Amino acid sequence: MNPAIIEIEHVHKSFHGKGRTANIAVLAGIDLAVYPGEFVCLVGPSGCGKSTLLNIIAGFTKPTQGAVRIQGKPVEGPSRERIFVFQENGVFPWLNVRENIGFGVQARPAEKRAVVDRYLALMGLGGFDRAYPHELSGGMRQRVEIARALAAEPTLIFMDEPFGALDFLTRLKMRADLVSIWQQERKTIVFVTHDIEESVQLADRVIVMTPRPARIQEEVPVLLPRPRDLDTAEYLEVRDRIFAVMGMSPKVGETG
Amino acid sequence: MKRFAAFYLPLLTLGVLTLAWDQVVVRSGTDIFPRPVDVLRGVAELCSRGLLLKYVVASLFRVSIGFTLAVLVGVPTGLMLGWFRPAFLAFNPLIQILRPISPIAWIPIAILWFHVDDRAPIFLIFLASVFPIVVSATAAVQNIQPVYVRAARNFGLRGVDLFRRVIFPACLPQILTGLRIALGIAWLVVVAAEMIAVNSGLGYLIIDARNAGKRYDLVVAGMILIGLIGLGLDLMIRRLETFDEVRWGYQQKGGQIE
Repeated sequence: MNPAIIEIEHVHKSFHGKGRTANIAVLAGIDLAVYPGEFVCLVGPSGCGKSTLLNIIAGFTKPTQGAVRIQGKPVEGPSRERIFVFQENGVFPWLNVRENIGFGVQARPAEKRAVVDRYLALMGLGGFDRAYPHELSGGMRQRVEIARALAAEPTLIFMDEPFGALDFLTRLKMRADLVSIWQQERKTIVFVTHDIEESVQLADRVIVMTPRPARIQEEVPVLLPRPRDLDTAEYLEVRDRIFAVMGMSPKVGETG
Repeated sequence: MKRFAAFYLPLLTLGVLTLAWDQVVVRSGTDIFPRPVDVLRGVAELCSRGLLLKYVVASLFRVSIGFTLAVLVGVPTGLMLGWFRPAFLAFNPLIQILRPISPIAWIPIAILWFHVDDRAPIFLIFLASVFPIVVSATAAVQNIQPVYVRAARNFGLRGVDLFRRVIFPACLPQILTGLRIALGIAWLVVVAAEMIAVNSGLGYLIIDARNAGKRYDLVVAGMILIGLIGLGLDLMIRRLETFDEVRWGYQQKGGQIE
């Protein structure tokens, strides 16, 4: 196997409590390796610390203990080699779609134009290049943000519930498109979600985290071929296994 | 129908009030307070003596210089105070003490420092407009969506680039709102300043018309001109809010492409 691109060793994180509340332990000893080209999903109950872990890997937050290495080097801060896609949408509203996608492109104008054109087409944003984000729907804005991340040509992409604010049908379409783009680009993606179905539809490997303070409860490989058929017994088996690991039932009305 | 009402209703209001003004003056038998027609004649007289244009230009000149200086000082200062917490802690109390002092209260000091020339009203306009600009720019930076700063850092922006490409544009809508308030105040203050410190301008026109022969027709003419020019200035600066780079800051939703 290739050497890991991300190595997470014994990462702990606690936040100072406010006033008289005690310190809050969020992460309690995370060990994880992610390999080049892999699509890894972190799932866990809301508030379990999976976003915190992603922020630590991305360099936005420092761990209280432990270490994160990317390509063998310790993470000391955010880098343009690894771009974060935010749940709350970090597209810049003062720039139009073209300017947003080109924001992180460091190339001469002609080359930059070509790169932006490519990702406009790839994300299905053709014809919207002069539109401003506030004129777009939430799904389109997330497409712009993903295109902006890809255009910067990072080796890693981090996504923190990027489809969380979208409606159900838009989410399904975005997942399908994300997978097909990942298959073309082969970037390493670490994707945080609380949606088990989403993780099974997307990932090569689902990392299930415990409630806070989070540990890794189980790693579930998803060996299903793509495009994934959501009706097959194999899909449902993986899904139900993750539900079971999290102590829940996929059936509405049943208490787990 | 709506456009019709929006255009004719204000005209109707103005017409009725002008008529009422005329009737009240006629019936009261006063020979000091002017009728609307006297005011119109007064404006015509100012035009023919070449004073109208001269005074309007003089006032606008002072506002332009004072306001521009306030923008050049206020915006960078506000951005710095909003971004660097120690600077904010050090300077904010001072600003909050200086801010409520009416620019009128500075008149004696303005005259002491600059004597009776253009610099005195320009200084007063600068003082009047710089504080709203600083305060709005500071608040804009402090309220910036953290996700924009994080995205900027992610793309490796630091220092001047971070300010130029992200912090400044992110704050621009709120800064423009501050500029609009500041320009309104600047126009209020230029008139007051010209009553004391200089011998041209619309403020000077009003005080001079009263002192040199109780020409209340010219006093009212000056007041109406001040109002109209103030309205024009506000409309001008509001035009800035329609630019693509800032429009997002004034509307929540609307015209989405699905």
